[in-house]
Amino acid sequence: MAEKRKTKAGFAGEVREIEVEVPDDEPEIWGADARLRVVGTAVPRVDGAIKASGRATYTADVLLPGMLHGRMLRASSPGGTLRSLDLTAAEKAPGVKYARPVARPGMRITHEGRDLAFLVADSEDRLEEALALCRAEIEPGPVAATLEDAAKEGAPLVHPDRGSNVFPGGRDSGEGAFAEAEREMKKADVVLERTYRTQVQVHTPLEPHAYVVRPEDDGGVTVFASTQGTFSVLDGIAGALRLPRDRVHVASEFVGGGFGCKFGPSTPGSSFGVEAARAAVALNAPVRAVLERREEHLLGGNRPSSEQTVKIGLKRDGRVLGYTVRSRGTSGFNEGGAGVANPMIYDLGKQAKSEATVATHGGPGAAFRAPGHPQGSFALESMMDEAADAIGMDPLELRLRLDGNAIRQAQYKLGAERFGWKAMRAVKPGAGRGPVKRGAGAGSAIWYQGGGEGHAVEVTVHRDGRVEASNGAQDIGTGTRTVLAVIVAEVLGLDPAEVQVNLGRTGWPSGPGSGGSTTAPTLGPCARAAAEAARKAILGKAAAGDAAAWKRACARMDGEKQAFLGRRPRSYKQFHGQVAGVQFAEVEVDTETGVVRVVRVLAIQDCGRVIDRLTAESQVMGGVINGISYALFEDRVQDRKTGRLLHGDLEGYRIAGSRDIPDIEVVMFEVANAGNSVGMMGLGEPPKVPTAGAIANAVAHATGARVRDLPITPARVLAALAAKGGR
Amino acid sequence: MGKPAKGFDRRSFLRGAAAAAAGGAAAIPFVVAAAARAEGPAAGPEVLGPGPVPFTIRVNGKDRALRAEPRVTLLDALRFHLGVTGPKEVCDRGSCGACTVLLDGVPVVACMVLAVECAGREVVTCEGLASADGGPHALQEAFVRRDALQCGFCTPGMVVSCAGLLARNPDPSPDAVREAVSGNLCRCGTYPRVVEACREAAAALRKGR
Repeated sequence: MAEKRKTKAGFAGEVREIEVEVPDDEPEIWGADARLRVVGTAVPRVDGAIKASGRATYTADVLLPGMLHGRMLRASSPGGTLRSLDLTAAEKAPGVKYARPVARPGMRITHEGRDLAFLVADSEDRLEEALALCRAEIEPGPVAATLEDAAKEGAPLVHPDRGSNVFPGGRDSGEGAFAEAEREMKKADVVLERTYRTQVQVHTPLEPHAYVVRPEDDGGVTVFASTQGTFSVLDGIAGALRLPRDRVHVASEFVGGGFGCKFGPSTPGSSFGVEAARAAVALNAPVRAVLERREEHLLGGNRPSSEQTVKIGLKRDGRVLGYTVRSRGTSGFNEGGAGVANPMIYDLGKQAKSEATVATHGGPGAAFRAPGHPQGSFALESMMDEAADAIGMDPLELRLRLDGNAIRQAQYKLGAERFGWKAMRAVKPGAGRGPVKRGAGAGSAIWYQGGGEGHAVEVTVHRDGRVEASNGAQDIGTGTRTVLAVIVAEVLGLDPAEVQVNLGRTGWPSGPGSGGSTTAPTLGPCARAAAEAARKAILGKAAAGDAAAWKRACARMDGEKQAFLGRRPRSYKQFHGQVAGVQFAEVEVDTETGVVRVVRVLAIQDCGRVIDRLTAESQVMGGVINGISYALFEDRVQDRKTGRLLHGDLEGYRIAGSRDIPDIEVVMFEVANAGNSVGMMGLGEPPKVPTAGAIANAVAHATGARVRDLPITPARVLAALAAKGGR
Repeated sequence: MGKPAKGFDRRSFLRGAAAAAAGGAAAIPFVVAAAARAEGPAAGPEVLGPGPVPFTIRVNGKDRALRAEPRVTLLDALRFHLGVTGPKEVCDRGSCGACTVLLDGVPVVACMVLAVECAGREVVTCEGLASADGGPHALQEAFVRRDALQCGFCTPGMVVSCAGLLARNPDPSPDAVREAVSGNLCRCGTYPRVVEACREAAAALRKGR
């Protein structure tokens, strides 16, 4: 049964009462005026101590008696066709237990590292020796390693049966829409056309993809997996081995980062997990398989590149009449996934868009922390600043004029004041003595309120007062364990440290894969519902008091323990379905060397209701840092002729280090959005989106020269300065 | 990868370096000790391996005997022979710092040191750090309090690098901390909070806790 309830929604000075429809057993909604005791405070991560002690067991740390080591034999370069595969010498090598071809002669080598065979030996060193004895004869073929080369007429085809490397897809508004936008742009005072390029970014989780599979007496398997989708691993292994679901148990207690590349074992970076499971069953022994760093770079996944040609026509007063985007990008041998989130956010008049994915002989794209958004945002935010410059308007003023979202409007104003925007922007590009120039830039972001029904959290109350909250999903470092502990503690009148949260075992109630910033808002309200049921059963009508009152009540309960299952309904009508954010960056650019240093970043982030301030701020900081790394350093490069990856390591593929990171100020901009009983949302993705655009705009402000390609390397800065006519 | 490059890899390089050092200097106690047993100058240094050899390393305050091939790195010896998994394998070539341990009090990356080189020496991993009363080390407490960790995979290496810093500089500036952990990569984005946590721990230790 559904019922209508009133709740307070909104932010800061803009709170109003709205009506939402909820199931009649839904807990009282924590609206904007809710008074909460623990929620929103700074609670230390509940699994922080074990992680800081070095004793947290990640999949790569699982050591079992009699454990064997497995690894994939991989194609050493892309292109061409497999002619033969000979494993006989390897099979006879000392310590080798298992060798199974997974490729057949005639298979095309679409990418370096393509699976050829899976080997198992009794030590890593013997495994390495055995892999060297395998003979794979590959008839070489031409490769198309870059987007430009792959999109050319007559390029070597990655999938010959498809007839082309270029796959139109994603959003395509059709040529009619382009013509209409062009007609509008004819009435504009200023028309600009620019091409922006973004690079391939590799996820680089520090713990590589890892599986340890233990065969069980009942013919099933226990799968320890470094994953952000325990239940997709269950599906993948049960499906591939044709095992009943109740004989596959997945465990993922601690995960050393995912960022979108660690879902089920059907993805190219994880297919070895299925082979490890097959081998473990065949050998009746545990098998450990962990990707090496080069394999992780090749196959783990990546954020596809993009090349976006953007055209804008606007009036001198800032009104935009038309905006078009023609975009293409590559996610390696995949046939899709290179779409970009551009246009977004702004009122841009008549819009038109076409996009395509270009297949290359490269490793696969995968979802990566706000798929499509950082790419699109970099181009869109760069163009906003270029357009503002062209009409002589402050770029923030133009955003205020074009962005109808009330939350971002408030964030722009708050941010401008905190950041000292006016004073900084009053300095002309290139001004000041000496080679080092300073500049400030801004960018904005959009994401979506996620999370939904279909999962549950179980709260178990013991007679001695202990409380457990359990769900089969994983905490990949975001703080899921901690936010569930905080919510349950709030309801029961406990300290979060008194709630034991069990995550990452598929024997517990089902949970979502960690994607789209949906894990917390899916599980948080379930935990609330379960805890409310426990409170009612244990405390009756009495209000939650303190830990002592709780213990006394528990001692009176029937039986040794009681379990309560909590679910959440679909999101209610929300105050807003978006997630809004604005970031400001200040940079120093050395115009003699081209080196860019980010001096400070201010991130103002719509965060729904903050559950735990510490982990929430960490998420935002992490998004910004990933954004700085994307803006300045990271770039996956393949050799153009052979297609081989030039740097499958952490020296050549540079990610931001401690000395690259400035002061980061995080402002949690709370918004009561009336989407679920807790009012919470996920924060993994939104703060990654606007950083690169803000930095690019700051570089342009500092120097008067615009770099339209990521990463913004010293060479590109110097080239842009030279094109402008010196510093 | 299908056919790894022959003739030059990290392990054979380390093997060569170890042999070279054994010929000349006293940098590697185990090999030098073996050489001392050899009879007469003509015999030259004793060649170890390729089979397993027995030796002992003091790990987190306990002497641990093991048998390992001379090519085995300290990281693999800790993880696979001794079950000490705090030091993580991320790059296996000295570029990420996730396997940082203290070797005779000095931070080293365990993937770039051969286990036999550590015979008779003292290794402290993140698990072995503790306060005087046996509880968590001030750094470990500060990392939790400041949320200087997210997924936690880089954390044991970060903590050990910070411990190495505090041993030589009890009052580090933010830049000194940044430099001390500049070889420790983090992908979640904890750097600013690592700096805060390390300085907070330093202050606590100076106050004598």
